[in-house]
Amino acid sequence: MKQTVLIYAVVTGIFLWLFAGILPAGAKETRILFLGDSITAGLGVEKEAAFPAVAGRMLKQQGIDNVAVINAGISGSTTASGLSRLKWHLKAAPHVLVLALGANDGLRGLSLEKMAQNLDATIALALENNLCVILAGMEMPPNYGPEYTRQFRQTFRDLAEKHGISLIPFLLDNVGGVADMNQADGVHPNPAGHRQIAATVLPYIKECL
Amino acid sequence: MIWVRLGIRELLRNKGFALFFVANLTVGLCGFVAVQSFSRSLERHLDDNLRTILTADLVLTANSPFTRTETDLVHRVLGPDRMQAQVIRFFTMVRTSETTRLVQIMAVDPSYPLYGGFVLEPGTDRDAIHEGPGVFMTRDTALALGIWEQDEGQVQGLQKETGTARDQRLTLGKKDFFAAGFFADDPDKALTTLELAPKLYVGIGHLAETGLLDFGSRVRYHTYLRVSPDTDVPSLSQELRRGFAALAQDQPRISVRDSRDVSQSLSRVTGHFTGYMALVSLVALFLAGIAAAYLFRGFLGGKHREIAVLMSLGAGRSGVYIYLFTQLVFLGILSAAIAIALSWLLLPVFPVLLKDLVPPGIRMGMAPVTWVTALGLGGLGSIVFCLPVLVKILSIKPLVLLRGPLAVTGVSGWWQGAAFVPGIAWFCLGAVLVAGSVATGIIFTAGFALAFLVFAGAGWLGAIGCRHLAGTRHLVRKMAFLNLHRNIWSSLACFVTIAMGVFLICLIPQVQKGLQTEIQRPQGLKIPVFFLMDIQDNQTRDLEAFMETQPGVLENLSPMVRGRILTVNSTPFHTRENNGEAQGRPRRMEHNFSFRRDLDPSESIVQGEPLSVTPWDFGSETPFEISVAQSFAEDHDLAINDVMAFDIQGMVLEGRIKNIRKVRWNSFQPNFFLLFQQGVLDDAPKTWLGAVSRVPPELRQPLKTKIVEIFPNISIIDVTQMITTLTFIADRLSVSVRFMAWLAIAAGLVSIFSIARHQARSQAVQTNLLKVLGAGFSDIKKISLLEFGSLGFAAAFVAVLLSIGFSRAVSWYFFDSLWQLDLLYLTGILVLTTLICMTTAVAAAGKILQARPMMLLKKT
Repeated sequence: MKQTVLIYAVVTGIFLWLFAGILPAGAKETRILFLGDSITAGLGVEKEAAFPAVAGRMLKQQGIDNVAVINAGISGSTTASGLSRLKWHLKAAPHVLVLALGANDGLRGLSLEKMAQNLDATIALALENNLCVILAGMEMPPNYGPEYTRQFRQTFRDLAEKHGISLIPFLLDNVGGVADMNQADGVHPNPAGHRQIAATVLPYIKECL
Repeated sequence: MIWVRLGIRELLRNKGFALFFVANLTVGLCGFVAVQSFSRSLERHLDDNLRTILTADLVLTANSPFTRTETDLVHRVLGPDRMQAQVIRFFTMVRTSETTRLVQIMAVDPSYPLYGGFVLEPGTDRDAIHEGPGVFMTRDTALALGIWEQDEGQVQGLQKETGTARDQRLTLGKKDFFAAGFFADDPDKALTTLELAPKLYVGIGHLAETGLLDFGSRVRYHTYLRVSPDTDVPSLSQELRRGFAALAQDQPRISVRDSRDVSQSLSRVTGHFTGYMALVSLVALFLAGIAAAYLFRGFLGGKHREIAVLMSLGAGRSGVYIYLFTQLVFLGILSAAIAIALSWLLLPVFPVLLKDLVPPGIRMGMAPVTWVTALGLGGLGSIVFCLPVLVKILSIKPLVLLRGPLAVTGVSGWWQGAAFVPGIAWFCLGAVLVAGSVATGIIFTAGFALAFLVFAGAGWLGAIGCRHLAGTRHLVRKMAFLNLHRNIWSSLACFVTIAMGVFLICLIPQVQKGLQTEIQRPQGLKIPVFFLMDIQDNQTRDLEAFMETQPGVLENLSPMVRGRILTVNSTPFHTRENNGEAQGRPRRMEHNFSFRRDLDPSESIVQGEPLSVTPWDFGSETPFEISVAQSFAEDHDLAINDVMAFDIQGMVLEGRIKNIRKVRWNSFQPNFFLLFQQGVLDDAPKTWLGAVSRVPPELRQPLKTKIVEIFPNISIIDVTQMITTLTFIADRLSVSVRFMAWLAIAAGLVSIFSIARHQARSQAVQTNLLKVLGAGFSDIKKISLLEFGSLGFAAAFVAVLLSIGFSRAVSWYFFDSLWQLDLLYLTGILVLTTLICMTTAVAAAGKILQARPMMLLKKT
């Protein structure tokens, strides 16, 4: 009898062990797509120091292991490229989209209407594919004048409201204009700046997860 | 003092020789002085052009105001004599009655620009932007802002001012400004990475009232600096860079630019140009030295008897040396003085006489260092170069009076060898001086020494071979080759000298041709007017269709994919040291990649095989093929077969280098450091680049406006002005390279003429003997023709062969392998040298035939 109990116990233990081992491997990996510009691409820093990679590591540190980060940042890109780039990356079947485009449109004084249209189409496609969309809001520096900076800020708010998606009010919160957080060009974040951006983005990603 | 008087008197008695010596040395020195002066004038001219583009000698840029420590550093490095101007640059939205759009503000202080100056339309007050809230801009900007309208029907051959002014108020932030004037010529010609918006110039004093500068504003602070002429600007830039790096713990926030940074491709070409100038100057210097030594050799050869007379009358050897040195120094300085005077008179005439060869507007001048070098070459140089000849005096004894030249027994080998040392050292010093580098000077000297040895060896073999050629019954052939063999030392000296001359003048055009090919624009390529960037994948067809209906041609539409280079041969790419030009600049983390079926006319493969036309199988484990630009390969130590890993938009791909490609960046076409095999990037997210050319000037602005309206995300860089300026400079360089080559060749041919003439004259005794023995004029002429023709031809032939190899090596070492074989030219030099030798010899023989035999015997 004791022997039978022992056998059952061993077999059950093996099953439990296998189950415990198999469960995480079989769990679905969450792929987070960061679609953005030079800030997302990590211009001037190593790719591992750019905020998407840092956010991925932060998630793992917080026990969320099943996460894969796709950095789809292209320096200098505008919202015009958003839709076609998203189509390409949909092949990787992402679950979360952090849409961080628009800064270059603003800096180049492009039409805010057109920028809104481009972002709108990109968000619509992401939602059609059941992605959890996080829109990263941007601010224009004061030298662009009060009227333009206000309209620019409002564009992101209107879009988030229209689609009912999460909005990060300002991606570069506590980074923009802070010398210690930026590289020598004063525009692109340094590794410390990227850590700060990752900390800003993290709560929104966790909401999606 | 008596020896000095005697020397001068002797020269005055031998007016013919003195004049001949002075005339020949003057020509050689004239070439050297002209080459040196022209080279320096042109370098100065080029520097002026580059400085005018930059509007300063140095520009410091930071994204926040300069601190006290930083300005103190500038003061310490540049000293108090500098001039400086402050400029604040930023982007903002300007509002006019017609539109609101992005502009770039250039807030300048009254000292700006330090070079060039504002060229405003007539009637405009230059200080208007400082005295009131005025704005300067170009007419094109005014048109884009809608504050000025071009009149209808005035498009063709228009006067730019023909138009209608509208409401000229512009609002910048909280402040209203007005259009105070228009530029006739945009003062900022520098190529910026991206010209996002038109520029408005305002007075720096009115900036605060706009309220645009606040926390978080993206503003660039520039300090423009002008230093006194003849300052070594590159070394100052280096010192400033080091200083700023030390202040910011190796992460300098201030960038330092000088005129070399205006255009990297142009500064590379100008670097080659400076090296080329040094080479031409060296050639001119050496030819002058050869001519001096050769002429004095002839002079001294006939003076053994006189020296013996002086010694028998009690003269010491030192007195004889003073006597000869006086003559040499006197003749040398006289020649140098005449050469300087002639060059000084001729230099201003160059641009007039050779208006298609010399850059227009160049100011020709002669630097004091050129005077000193020329006087040194003439006075001291003639002694140093003639020492191997002068050393023979050691062997002259009064016995010569009784036994003739047979009593000259020769000096020890040690003395003869030692006599060459000052000449070599002097030439080496001159080489270092004109090349501006110890290493270059030594390499040139060693190269010339090697060539000298090769010629001596070839000449020796040739002279021995002449004995066999003389073994014939044909009188002319027998005498001609016998002469060459019997007078082996004299023939050898003539052979080596002619060969050296030909060798040097052949070096120049081969390097010149390669350099000129690099400078000139590739044939058949159109100069673009606009660069179009950020063209989306789905816009290419629409854009092409649109451009078909517009003036201008859209060409070279090239895909561009951004990514990172991860490893090279499994070593992280970022750990590789940047060599060359990339050194000291911020490290690039992202790169642009592209692919194309056929190479652009501005590209050529210099190593390896072309990429396969078969598209790469995306799933394949075989690495795809890569073509790398030569400059990139050199900067990052990349070689054929290196395996590189890339991160393309989150996807890791591996490729192998198949070829190294030379890219002529001055073609101003979209080009890339790395090209991939077809099939790798076809589906990757990409943007496109394109160039638009052939747009008439009056239609450029309307076309730009239309493109922006229909394709608002496409960035347009207007490269007209920048390219016009750069091609203008490149064209000037090109004509100068050609002119310098011809100057050196002309000087070289004159030297060859002198050598041949001297050699022919030294045969006077023999020619006379033949005449006395009854030989006819025809035979004597034929002997001279064959003797000198074969000598000249053989020397030139060996020299041409050696110059091909040597110029290839020079091009490889100094000029990035810019080399092209010019067979037509080399054949021309070969024929010309042979003809010069033959005609000179015949002319000399003719003169001897006209003289009475008794006169000639008396002379000897």
